[in-house]
Amino acid sequence: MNKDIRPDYEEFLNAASVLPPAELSENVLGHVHEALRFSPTSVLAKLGLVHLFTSVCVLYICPQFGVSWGASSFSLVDAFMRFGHGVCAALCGVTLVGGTFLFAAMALRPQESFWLKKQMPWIPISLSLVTLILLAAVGAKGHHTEFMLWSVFAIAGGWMSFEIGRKGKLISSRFFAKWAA
Amino acid sequence: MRTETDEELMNLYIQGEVRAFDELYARHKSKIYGYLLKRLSSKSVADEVFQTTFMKLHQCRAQYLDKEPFLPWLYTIARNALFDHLRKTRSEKTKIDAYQNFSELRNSESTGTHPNAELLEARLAELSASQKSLLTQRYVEGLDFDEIAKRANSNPVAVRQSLSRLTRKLKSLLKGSAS
Repeated sequence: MNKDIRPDYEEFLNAASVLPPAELSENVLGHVHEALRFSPTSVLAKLGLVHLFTSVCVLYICPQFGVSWGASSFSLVDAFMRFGHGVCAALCGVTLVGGTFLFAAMALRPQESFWLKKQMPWIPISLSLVTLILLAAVGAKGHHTEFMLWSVFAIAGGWMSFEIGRKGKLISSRFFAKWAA
Repeated sequence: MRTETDEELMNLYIQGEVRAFDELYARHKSKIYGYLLKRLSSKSVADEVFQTTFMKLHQCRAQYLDKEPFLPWLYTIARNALFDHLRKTRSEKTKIDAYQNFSELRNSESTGTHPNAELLEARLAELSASQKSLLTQRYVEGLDFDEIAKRANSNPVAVRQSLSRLTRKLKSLLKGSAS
């Protein structure tokens, strides 16, 4: 702390505590609560949209159990399959669901991300199951071990990517806030 | 009552946990309000600055550095809010004083009762056209600094400084003559 304001800070610390009027407190708290208000349904809707976007992008370069979108000259399958079917399935799960949660952490507001964090691991579990069901519905083919590996790594990858995304966003927002100030 | 430190609560609040703000507010509202009441004469003004302090805390929360002591940080926000308010009111008061002085001068000139009217007339005649224009725009047309600056292709700070110098000069001249 600046030396010049040290005496004033001491004065602040020694100042008598006075309770502000209840109406004033209601105003302040009401304003902050209003600014941070959100609906869990809208968070889930946003997550759904982000997953749709990520799925379209990922299926273009990384077919999931034979299901793909378009015909990209670049495919992650060649790289992943070098390690075998099991590893390929695990990495596919991480890419698809992890990508969704990474983007979601970037797109959601802090209070929305905080709510989503509190729902872990149920949200990536649900999203992975829904995705697997949809993939199966459009003709996904694979062994049950691969489906299992895909699910486990999708859940873990989604959870971890979300945490990495949140931390990254926090650090970058602090950096930009400081830079703007 | 929560057991986290202020710094931990602040980090939770930045991450979006609204209850963390409630706890920080509950812990420090009385200290901030007591400090502002001590520094400001009016309770309603203290209320306004108190509200501004917490609004600023909310707006600037992303600028809070991890593990930075919270209380000095909150105090700095309260102090800045207090000083902003004092600066604003002082500037308003200066504007009102200058306007009143000039209005009194003009009124007394028009009725011929001001003892320094002739002297003022002489001094005003010595001013350059741009200085006279500046005074007229500010005190006769009632334009603000931004508007005057726009007209003169200048900036509001330079306009305010020029006007301040001019009015000070005229005031001291009148005081000197009266004594």
